[in-house]
Amino acid sequence: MRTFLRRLRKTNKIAYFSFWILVLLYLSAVFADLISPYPYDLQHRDYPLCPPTFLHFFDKEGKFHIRPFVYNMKLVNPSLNTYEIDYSKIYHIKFFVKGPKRKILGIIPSERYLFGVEDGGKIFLFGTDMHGRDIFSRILYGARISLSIGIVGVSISFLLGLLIGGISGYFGGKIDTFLMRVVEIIMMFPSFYLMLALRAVFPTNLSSVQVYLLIVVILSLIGWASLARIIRGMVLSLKEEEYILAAKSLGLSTPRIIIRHLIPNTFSYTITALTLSIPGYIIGESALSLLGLGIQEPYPSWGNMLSVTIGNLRILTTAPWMLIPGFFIFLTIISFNFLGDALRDILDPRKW
Amino acid sequence: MGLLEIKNLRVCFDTIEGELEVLRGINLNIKKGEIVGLVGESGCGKTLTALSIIRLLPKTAFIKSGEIYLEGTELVKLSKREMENIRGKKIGMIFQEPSSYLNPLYTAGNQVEEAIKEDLPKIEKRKRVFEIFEEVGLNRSDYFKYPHQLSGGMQQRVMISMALINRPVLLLADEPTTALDVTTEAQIINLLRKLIEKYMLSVLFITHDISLAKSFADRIAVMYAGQIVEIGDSKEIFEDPLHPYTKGLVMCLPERYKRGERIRTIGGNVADFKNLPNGCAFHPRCPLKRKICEIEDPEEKRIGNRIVRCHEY
Amino acid sequence: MSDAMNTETLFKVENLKKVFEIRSEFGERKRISAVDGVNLEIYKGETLGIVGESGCGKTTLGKLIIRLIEPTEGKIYYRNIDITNLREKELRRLRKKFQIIFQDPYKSLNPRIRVGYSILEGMDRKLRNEEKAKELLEIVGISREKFYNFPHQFSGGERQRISIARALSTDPEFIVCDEPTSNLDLSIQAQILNLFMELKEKFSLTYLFISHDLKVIEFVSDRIAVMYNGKIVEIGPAERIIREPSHPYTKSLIKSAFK
Repeated sequence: MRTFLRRLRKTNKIAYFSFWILVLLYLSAVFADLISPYPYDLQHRDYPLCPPTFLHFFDKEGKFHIRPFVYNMKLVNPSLNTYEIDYSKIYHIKFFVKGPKRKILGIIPSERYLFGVEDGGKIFLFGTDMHGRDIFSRILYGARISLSIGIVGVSISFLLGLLIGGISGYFGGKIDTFLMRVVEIIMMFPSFYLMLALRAVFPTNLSSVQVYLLIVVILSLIGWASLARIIRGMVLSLKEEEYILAAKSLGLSTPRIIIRHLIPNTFSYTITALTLSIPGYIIGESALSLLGLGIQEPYPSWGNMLSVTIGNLRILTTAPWMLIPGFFIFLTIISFNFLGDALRDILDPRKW
Repeated sequence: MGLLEIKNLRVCFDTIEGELEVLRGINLNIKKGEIVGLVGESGCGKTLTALSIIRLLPKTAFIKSGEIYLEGTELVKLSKREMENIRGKKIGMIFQEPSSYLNPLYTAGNQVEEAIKEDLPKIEKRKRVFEIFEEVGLNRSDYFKYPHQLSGGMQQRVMISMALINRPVLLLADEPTTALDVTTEAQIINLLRKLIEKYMLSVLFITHDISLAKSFADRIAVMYAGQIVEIGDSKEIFEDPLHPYTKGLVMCLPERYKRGERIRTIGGNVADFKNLPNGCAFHPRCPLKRKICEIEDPEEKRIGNRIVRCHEY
Repeated sequence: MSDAMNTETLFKVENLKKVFEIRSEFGERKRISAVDGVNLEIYKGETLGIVGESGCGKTTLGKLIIRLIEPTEGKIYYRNIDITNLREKELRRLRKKFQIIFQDPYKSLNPRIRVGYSILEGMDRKLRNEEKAKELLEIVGISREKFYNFPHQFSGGERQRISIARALSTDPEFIVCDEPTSNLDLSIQAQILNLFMELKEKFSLTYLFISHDLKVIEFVSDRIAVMYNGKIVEIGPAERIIREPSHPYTKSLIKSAFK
């Protein structure tokens, strides 16, 4: 692992940077319930569409506070949702504050939150939505859905694609012809519509967990096809390489040849292809959720957080912080792209 | 004054770690009508020498110092346009894999025609192509064939036509028969002999096959790690090699041994330019190594009609 | 070296044929007879040289004999066992006895696997041990510390040595050497040829040595078979083939080679 990181840093600084951004994002998703100051569904009724609260170090008199603090926002015009900063009281940031009970990572019950402000104070780092829910917290919880779907979906596709592509390429003949026709039929459908159609087959009021699994399954069933074709192509060309023949002459069994010799040599390409296809899965989930077919309220996903902004251009001027989930989708996708690009070179043992 | 004179040619590669000197002081003369064989193992710099003469070095390589005189004209100083005039007209070059050097989209005849530098009407050009085809043993009908429709030997003949159609004075041949079968090789070699005699060509014949060099070339220059370590008459060099590397190479030929005998080999591996030893590049593998070989790079010394680069002399 | 008359037959092929079907650019199907009815016996302890020009089928023949590719017609016998149609499972056990070394040292080793492990792979599970693999490396002239290196860290000649070590790992008695020195420099070729001869004596090996280089073939072979267009046109003791060839093709081959 250490050599991998060293090599990544040497080859491509941007990719190295992207790697750590992704690590940060994934860690935040895992520890969302520790880091976020509020539960994702807690509505602050007095603060709908509240702009982000800034952290201050200097107060109005110019005094420096070591602990950053926030001022509350005061709703001045409920119909227009305009706010004014209330300079009357200073709320310092505190660590390990008490709050509503919940289970960290689903197991450890706790009342403590990593950071927060004193009673009465509100800290909305990314503002709130129209129900008064803290967007920063929802981003963290939403990351769980959006980021994990990519990984899980891609893993399933990967295994399917490897298996089918490997078998198809190695054995050739009728098996190959048949499998490839199946792949082509799947690839024939425009994936987005296929996804919608598959989703529509199932009732809309499934529980969130069921929807999540359903989306993952749909995405991977569509995605494995192109991967299988790529792998089959590589296997076809690798099959004739002499070290494969040598393995055969040594008396190794066919499954062993495929698994130990053939497939690892497709890795440098497949891992790159995988990394580059994760963004597609993230977008797929976002699109479904955007259209209301994915993860349902109140559970957040970056996609469904954006769904309220559809058709609502006024948002750009009145509450632009509602688009922050879009920024995170963008950040994730672009990081995967940079990383995937650099991976191809790094994984080639000839360059070691 | 010989037809071709190379004086102290040094060629470097631009690498991430800095300049890497690959041709380290080449001195070579070719007389008019003479065939000089340039022999050496892979990576010693023989192809690079030819490419330097015709100035077709790869982008990362450049001539650091030295002079190349062709019929008295110094080539290194020439501009790109002036060199373009010389290329093809005064110097012709043929390569190892003819199929890589022929454009698959154009007919054989078309490509040779395109090589003609004189401004002639198309009919004249075509006539010339037919003429040279006959000389090299191709048919008129081959004019209209595409490279993939021709055998390896025929493709090589097309390349030879392209190289010689402007009647150059110098022919650079870089392993022209290595990719060919033994019988085809013999045919091409005979063809070359015929053409060389007819047109008084001077030839730099690059090969790793020293037996071929012995039978084909008048003189042989042996290269190791970017330097010429020995030059002399081909038969003499074979019967009485002076430089230990030449001696080692000649002794490596399996035909010198009876079945079951152990071949006397040169120990170690071929030199790595990134890690050249101090002094003589060959000393780690040399049976005659002395103290001075580790410190000083030997100069070229003349012994009779032989030139050797070795501290032994 | 060996008296061709007195020894047992290791391999015997009868009317061996291999036809390849190729689709040309225009969709027409061409059938190419790479090996066109070869009859051959290989005796234990000998080096049988197969010489011919490119495309004559010698490499295909080498792969056919050990059934690395399937014959279209004909029979293959190993020590009187008909292995032509043997199922892969049974054949796999026998495979340990006959190995192959390929021409291109840069392609014969899996670039992702450390060379030591490549050598260990072929060994019987019970006999598998690193010590034996390291010994094999030393026997072929590679220092044992390089056990954990990757193929790209070695030169062409060294990689060929490693391929030889791998071939030896299964304790074979027969090795097909498919142009093993054609891609190597002259000085390295000499080293590898010496190694082949040493190993033959040390491990009592039988070789099928394929090459287009008549001089190399003359040096290593006890008997020589000349191939042309998928058929063996002449076969006999090495000296006779070289000094007194009968077939016109053999004659022209020798004439071109020994200028």
